[in-house]
Amino acid sequence: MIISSSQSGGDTSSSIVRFLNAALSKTEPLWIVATERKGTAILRTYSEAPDALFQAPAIWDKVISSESLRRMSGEDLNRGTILIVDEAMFSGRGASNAIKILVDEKGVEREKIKIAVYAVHENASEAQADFRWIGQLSTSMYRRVREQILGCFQQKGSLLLDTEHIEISVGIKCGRSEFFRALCRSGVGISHETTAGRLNLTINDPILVGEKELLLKLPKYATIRNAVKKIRVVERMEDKFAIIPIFYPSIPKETKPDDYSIDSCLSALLSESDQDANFHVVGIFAALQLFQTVFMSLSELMNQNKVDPVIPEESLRHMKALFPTINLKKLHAYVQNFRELGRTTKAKKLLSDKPVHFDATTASENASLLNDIHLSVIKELASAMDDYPRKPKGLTIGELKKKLFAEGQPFSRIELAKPLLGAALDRAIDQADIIPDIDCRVFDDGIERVVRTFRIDGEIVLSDARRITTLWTEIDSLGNSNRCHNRGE
Amino acid sequence: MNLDFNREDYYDTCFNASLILGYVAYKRWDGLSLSYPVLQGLSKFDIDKTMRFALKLWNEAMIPDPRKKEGLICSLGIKPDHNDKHGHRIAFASSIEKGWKPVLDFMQSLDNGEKEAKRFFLSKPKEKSYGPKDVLVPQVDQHRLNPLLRSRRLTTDDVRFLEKVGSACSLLDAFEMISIGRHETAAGTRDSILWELSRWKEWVADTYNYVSENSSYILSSPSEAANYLWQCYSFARECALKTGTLEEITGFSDRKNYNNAILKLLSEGSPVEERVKRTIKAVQCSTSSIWKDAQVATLGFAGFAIWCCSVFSSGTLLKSKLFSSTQGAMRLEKLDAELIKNGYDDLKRCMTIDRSNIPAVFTRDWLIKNANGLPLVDMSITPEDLWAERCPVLEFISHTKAIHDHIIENFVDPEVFDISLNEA
Repeated sequence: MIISSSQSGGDTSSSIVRFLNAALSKTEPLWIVATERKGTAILRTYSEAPDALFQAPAIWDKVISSESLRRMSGEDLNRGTILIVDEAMFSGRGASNAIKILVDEKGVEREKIKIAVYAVHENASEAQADFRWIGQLSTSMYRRVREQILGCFQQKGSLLLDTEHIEISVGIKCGRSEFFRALCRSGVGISHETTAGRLNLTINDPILVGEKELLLKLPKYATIRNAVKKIRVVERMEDKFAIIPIFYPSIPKETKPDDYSIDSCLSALLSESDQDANFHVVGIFAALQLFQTVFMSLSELMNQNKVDPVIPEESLRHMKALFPTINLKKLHAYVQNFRELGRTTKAKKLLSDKPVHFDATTASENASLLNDIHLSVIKELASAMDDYPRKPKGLTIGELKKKLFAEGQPFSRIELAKPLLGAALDRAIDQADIIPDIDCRVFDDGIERVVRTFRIDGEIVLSDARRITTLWTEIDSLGNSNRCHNRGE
Repeated sequence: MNLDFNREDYYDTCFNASLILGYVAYKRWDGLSLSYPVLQGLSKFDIDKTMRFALKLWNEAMIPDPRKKEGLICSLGIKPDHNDKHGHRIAFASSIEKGWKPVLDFMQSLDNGEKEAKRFFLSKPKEKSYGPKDVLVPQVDQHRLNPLLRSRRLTTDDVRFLEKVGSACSLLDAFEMISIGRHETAAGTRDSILWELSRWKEWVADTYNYVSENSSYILSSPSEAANYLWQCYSFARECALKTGTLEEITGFSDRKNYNNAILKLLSEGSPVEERVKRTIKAVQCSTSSIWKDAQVATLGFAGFAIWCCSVFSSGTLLKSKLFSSTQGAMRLEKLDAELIKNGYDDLKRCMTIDRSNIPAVFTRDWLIKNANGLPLVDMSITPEDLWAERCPVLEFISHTKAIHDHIIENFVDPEVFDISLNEA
């Protein structure tokens, strides 16, 4: 069913609202399956609009992330209609995978499953959309519509960055630079811009209070070596930012809930067999420790009433998409506790007196280097897919560092390149060039661990990345140092 | 505030120019505050002169010809030599506000009632002995220039240039920044000195008028009189700083600060980018070509004389018991008794110099060698006489009038007779 066929003009955001209003009111689903990550982002765009029929935070009680389908019981899933939501469908593989899990593994009746996709490519054959806003798109039109949708997500505040993370909202009554500087006392900060012009700050490898104690609460052989550890600061509106700590220690491949000593609000989510779930739980637990760093950095500004961090319980409800059984009240109390800890801790002396903040916004000198690293990341991830065609799970941050910064590599002698890598990854995720994933790796110590990886997001990006890579190789082989930075041109 | 924004696009011109110059001030602040974390902000003088310096470099670097065709911003529509209290400030033309509105004042007036994210500056109070004096924290980061980039009014190259100028500025301390911001050619420095001389002369006249009309009132309420005395001193001091003649006494002058700035920016090992260096060289004359130029050097004696005179008259009075708790006295607290007495001695020497013997290049050594004979004006009352209350205040003021008159007639008027005083 085509709900409307507007391929040009009109605000994308209001089109999304109209589309989902219609799809949701026609199906009245018990569950909404959001395909990660853009499905969740489109639902967030929708539910925060004033004219949405199903508003946040209530809608999150119905939402299940496609990554957590296996954690639901078949009985629960079969109790009503399920609507799979995605922003776009190229081949239909994402939706088709979700249907397979629901029908084959969970025993859901196929008739109870509907698919709502905003934009559909003319070649989408692996699944059929029951509801679409724009269909029969040629590849070039599909690209254009996709860019519009991503622009919409970025305008709302980099929505692709935060689907499985806890975030706090901060209103500032001081200058932006004073706010950024305060945070940059905890680690090297890189400010950069989204293509929608929103300002973001990525703080790399921030200090962590109680690192040893953290590891003691995790299973033996868990490690934070080369783990993704950063604080993202995302501009949502003028004077309003979201702060999202991210931290993914690597955990041994085989763990049981008893191996962990974490807070009960999170330990209840651990699984006997689903190591991906355990990895996410550890990620939440570790990220929460970084909240202490955040509040430590902001304590002076908070005391002067220049910033006002807000953590309403509703702001945590999107976590239910990934963890349907999560106890939000307990989680909320746990997060609140870090606010007080951060303000009062004596560990503030760990903060640097001289904040280190590099400007990599659009026209700055560092912007070209950031751009280069961004494109190099895409190039390496595209190559990785060629290297492992059967297992396109991407590269870890350690593997990326080796490829980009090892002796003889283009960025090996540039000191700033390492902190820029974190910002480049954030930008690439925000632009839907890459997507985070989970995989296993055998470390130097012989232990196989579950790790965070990054991979190319979808067929369109892979095709573009391959084209750029080919062009790069031709230029390099001609000995020409000029690079083409125009993707898809 | 109204700059006659009925003129087409004039508001945009002023606003965009403010963003461009504000960004340079931000980059200066950004660099300085990282090197000196205790710094709370920049003074208005500092920011004003940073922007004036940036304007000079912008005008030099942005050649109108290709830029106009491409719709890029070239001229910022700013007059660099609007004469305000202490000389050249950058200003927008206004057909309404007495002809000109200083750029900084325009920016601050837009900041009133504006959200922090959109302000040009945030204001922070800084306590001084004579009362609070705000410092400003520039807020225009590169992100704020994006609308100009997106609308192709600026290129990435322009922004990088501004970034480099701002970073260069962050190498300079406040005095160096102010010096290189306000001086660039001998003619400009000469005009600036003449402006201080003429303003000093005005304030001296106003002071004596005030005293003669309020003589009994002053003895019970000296605050207003203290302010007049302070103003006379401040213009004399600025004049002497600009001529460079204070350097021998205080080790401090615009000449010295300018030279330090030039060295920091242009020397071999300087981290300033080459293009910025070339632009600075094109715009800023060397130290010697400014201060050794006859246009400037011949004003040295006048600058020194009025400074000695103000140190003696304003300094002695403000240090006396009557004026001790006024704001004027607090502003001058660094001028100690010994400096005042030395100023008196130098003034006596100046009063022995005939107008026809004023040197082409003045130094204090020259004055000591050539100060022969009796002063041409009565210099019998000393600072100690006032402080010990051997001489009443009003008598002291009356005594100093003759000294002022002599200096004005012989050393100031011959220099400033053709200065227009209608600009402020």
